[in-house]
Amino acid sequence: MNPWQKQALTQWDMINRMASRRFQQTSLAEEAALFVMDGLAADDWRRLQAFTGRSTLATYIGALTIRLLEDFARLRFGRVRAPLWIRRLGGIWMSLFRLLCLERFSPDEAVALVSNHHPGQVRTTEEAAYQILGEIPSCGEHQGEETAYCEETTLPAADGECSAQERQLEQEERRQLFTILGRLLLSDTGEGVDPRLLERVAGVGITLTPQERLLLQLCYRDGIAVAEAGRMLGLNRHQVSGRLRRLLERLRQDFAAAGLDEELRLLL
Amino acid sequence: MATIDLDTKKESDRRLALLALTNQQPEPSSPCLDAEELACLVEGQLAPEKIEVCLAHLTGCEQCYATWRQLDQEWQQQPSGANRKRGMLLRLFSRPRFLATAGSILAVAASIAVFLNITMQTDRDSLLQFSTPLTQKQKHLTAPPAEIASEPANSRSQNLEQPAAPSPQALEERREKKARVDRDHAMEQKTAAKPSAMDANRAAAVRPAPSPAVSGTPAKKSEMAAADKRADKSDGVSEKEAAAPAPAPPQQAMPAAGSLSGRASVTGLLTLAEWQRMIREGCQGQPGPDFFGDISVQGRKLLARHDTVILTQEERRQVSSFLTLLADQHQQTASRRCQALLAVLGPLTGDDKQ
Repeated sequence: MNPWQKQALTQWDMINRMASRRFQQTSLAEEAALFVMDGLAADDWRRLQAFTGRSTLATYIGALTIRLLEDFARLRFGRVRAPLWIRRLGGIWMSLFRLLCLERFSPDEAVALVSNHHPGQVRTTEEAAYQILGEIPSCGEHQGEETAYCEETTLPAADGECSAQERQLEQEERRQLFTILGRLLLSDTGEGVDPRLLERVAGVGITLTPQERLLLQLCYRDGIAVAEAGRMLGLNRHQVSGRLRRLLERLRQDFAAAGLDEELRLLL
Repeated sequence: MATIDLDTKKESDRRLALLALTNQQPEPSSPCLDAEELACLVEGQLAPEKIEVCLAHLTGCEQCYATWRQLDQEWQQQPSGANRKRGMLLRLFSRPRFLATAGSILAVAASIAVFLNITMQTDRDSLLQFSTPLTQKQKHLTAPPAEIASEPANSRSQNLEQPAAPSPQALEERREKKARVDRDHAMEQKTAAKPSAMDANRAAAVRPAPSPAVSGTPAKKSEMAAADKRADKSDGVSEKEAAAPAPAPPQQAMPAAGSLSGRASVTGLLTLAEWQRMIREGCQGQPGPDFFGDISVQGRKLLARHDTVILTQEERRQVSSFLTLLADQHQQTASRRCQALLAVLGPLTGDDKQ
């Protein structure tokens, strides 16, 4: 037996487990796991032979498995370009959009699948799922087909200038982004925020380092606990708490320095 | 109320963060991370500068970000990995609570170690003191503690009568030794110096209450003689050691006036010259009530020595005459007794000064 094959078979349980998490249906999960094994074995185990030993082999095979499972889903369900506001929000929003609108899972199944990957944030995920279904009435109608959001259908720029149709589309997307964001921000009151006000706030030049941005994403967009987010970024719980506190304080100061005190007070 | 405030604060922070995230949408600045880079990032095996590059890419690439999160979760759930264990250990050691606990435990352990060390040291010292009294005697003779030399006469005499916290066994041992010396002295006086009846009475008064063994049968007397021989033997050894040149400086070997008497009653070991110097120094000041008793005891101890190298016959006779004089004039005043003693001693010679 090929030594790489032997190594891959030792991780068979992990591959099966990851496939089951990714796809709720058992048959689909088994099919996906076999697809992963085929992908690993392709070209005489080329992917495994590229392993240089900087990490553990199990984690490396795990990373390959996640990528191959996404390839399987794309082959099976096609691909779709999410609307701008979904892409801007990213994280669980993108996952939910894909599960709900592309793979046609029910909201409960989609929430369960996302919660499998991100336990402890079921409420946030549920709210996001119903928000997506409410904002995109045609979600899930075009299974396996290229949709209007697909990257390939994006109009190319003509001679370096955007066409009027493209500009109009962009403006429409931005308006939709701020409208939905306003609803998200004040979801507890049931009121919305004027999109122009949000556009002004969003126009302020805020500089975030990659680590700061990821920290905000993990903690406030994806609902991960602060200590857990810190661990993922290589910080202990005390470091991450202090860093987050200082970052939020700095953001308040930046918005205030841009003359948005009143808007910020209204929004927050 | 506090809970509501906390929730409000959290919600406010969440909105602020979402606004900041919406404000800026970076584009991926580098190609997507390969599987091994992601694995290294999750396991913390990347160099810091490489981590920055990877994190910068993750902020702009949702696919890599999603893969990173899933992989991290999978890595966390791996049941038994060496890296996982190492990660847990690192996290454990980096916790301030753990460090505080470990520090407290170490401090307690150090305290216990110090306590045990001191206690065992004390026990060892006391054991050595009881088991080798000769060494202890020599220590006292060559280098008396500074506090004894510098103490006032009254407190010194109190300290001498009641040494610092001696154990009952040590006290008993000292009493027995003193009794043997006194008996020896009495026998010596009877045979060699022909003491008067008054001297004998005084010796009897100084001597502690005789035990039944002293006035017992000849067998018991032989037992007592054997015990005395043992005591004499041990005393002889210590005297030889005492006669050797003392390593301590003169000011330590010869403390201030009157201090010799205190030291002598503690150790019971004086040479003839020291005894005479003790008498001179005591009589030059104002001798206390115990002074004559002390020099009498020291004189008897000198006579109790059978070592002729230390004490010649002439010196023995001189000591005996001193003791007789002391016994005869015990009803006189201190100054008169001193005058008589100094007259017998004669003028101060060069040897006496040393």
